[in-house]
Amino acid sequence: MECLEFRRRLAAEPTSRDIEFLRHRDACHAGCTESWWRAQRFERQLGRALQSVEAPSDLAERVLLAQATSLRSRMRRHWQIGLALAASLLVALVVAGYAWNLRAGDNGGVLAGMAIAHVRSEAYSLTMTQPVGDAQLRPVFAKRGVALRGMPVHAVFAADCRVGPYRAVHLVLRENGDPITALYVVGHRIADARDFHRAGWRGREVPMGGGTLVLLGNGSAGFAAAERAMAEAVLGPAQRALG
Amino acid sequence: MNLRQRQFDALVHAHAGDLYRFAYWLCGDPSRAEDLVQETMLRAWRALDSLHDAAAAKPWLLTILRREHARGFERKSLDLTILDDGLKDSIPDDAAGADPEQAGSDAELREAIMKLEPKYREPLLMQVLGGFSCEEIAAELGVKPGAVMTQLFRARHKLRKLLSGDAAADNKETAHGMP
Repeated sequence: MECLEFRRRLAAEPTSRDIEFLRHRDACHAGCTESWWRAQRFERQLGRALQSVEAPSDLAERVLLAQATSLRSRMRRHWQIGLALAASLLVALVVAGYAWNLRAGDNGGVLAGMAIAHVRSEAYSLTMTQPVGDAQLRPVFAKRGVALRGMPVHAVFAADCRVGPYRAVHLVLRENGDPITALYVVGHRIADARDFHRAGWRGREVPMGGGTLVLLGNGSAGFAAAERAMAEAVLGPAQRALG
Repeated sequence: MNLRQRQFDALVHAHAGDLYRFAYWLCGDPSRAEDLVQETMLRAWRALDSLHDAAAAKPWLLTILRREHARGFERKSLDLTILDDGLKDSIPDDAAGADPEQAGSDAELREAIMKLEPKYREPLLMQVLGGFSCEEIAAELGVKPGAVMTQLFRARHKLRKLLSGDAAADNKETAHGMP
């Protein structure tokens, strides 16, 4: 290494440990050694001047406090997001479960809903009290393609209606107490009978013949008798037990 | 306390002071310097898993701080040529030790350091306070090592010139062959 290169290096990297650099320092008699010592003194002074700035005594604690605060804030945010996601998931599950339940019930759940909607739209039928005779009933059943095999007792209203997309015979049976609506839905037979309670109505769905009987009332006390009466009407006295 | 938090605590206690001094000389403002340390440490916490070697911790932190400062510098150009009151307040009177002559000399040197243009002061701080090599500084600043050597040469030359108050250093610089 030559003096020029040594001094360039010395000015840029005074503390260099490069072996060629140090060898030149030790071997040169043209003042490079003295220059090196001067540079070292200056570097010490420079280092001392830069290090002389005192950091606030509680800086580390303040940094840790800021970090802990930030961390907790982020954790709280993540927790809130997690909670929101969990709530959303729960709502989605509830909605999906409800939808699945409706679908799983096939015509049952849906049919019940449509039957209630229909009865509400024809609420006047529930106010009827005069018995309906054979002459009125038979055409109603015939219109829906059902041969009337027995006379449903205590019928006070009879009409051929559409319950949602389905054709149905709409009867109101009244013995002593509250009226019971009997909707015989033609052409749609549910798999299993079930009772339900929806929108303030008590109900029962029963597979019957080639269709489904839906009973609606304020209570279910008269359902058994109404079911028997409708089974006799649709299936006949001998077949009613077979449903 | 988990291991990650313990590592971070140790990092803070070991390097907060060095970071503060580095930040201080970069920006010349005690409040901003502390903010820089806080921001640096928060970034370090998030990226702590990328630190695998304890020996690399200090340069790693200084690099984060320098970049943080550069981002801030882009937003707000600071007047770095004036030694403000905050700087004077932060440097103890006896910082240079018991020798009055030395103390006076160190005070002048500190003032001279703050008068350096950032392009000279930054590599000098990285070298002296951070322990970075010329190659490492070059990589960090995105320039060639030769350019860094020139900046370091000029930084020291300007300091000597400011301290001596004469223009002789200019001639020496040329004589040393630096561009």
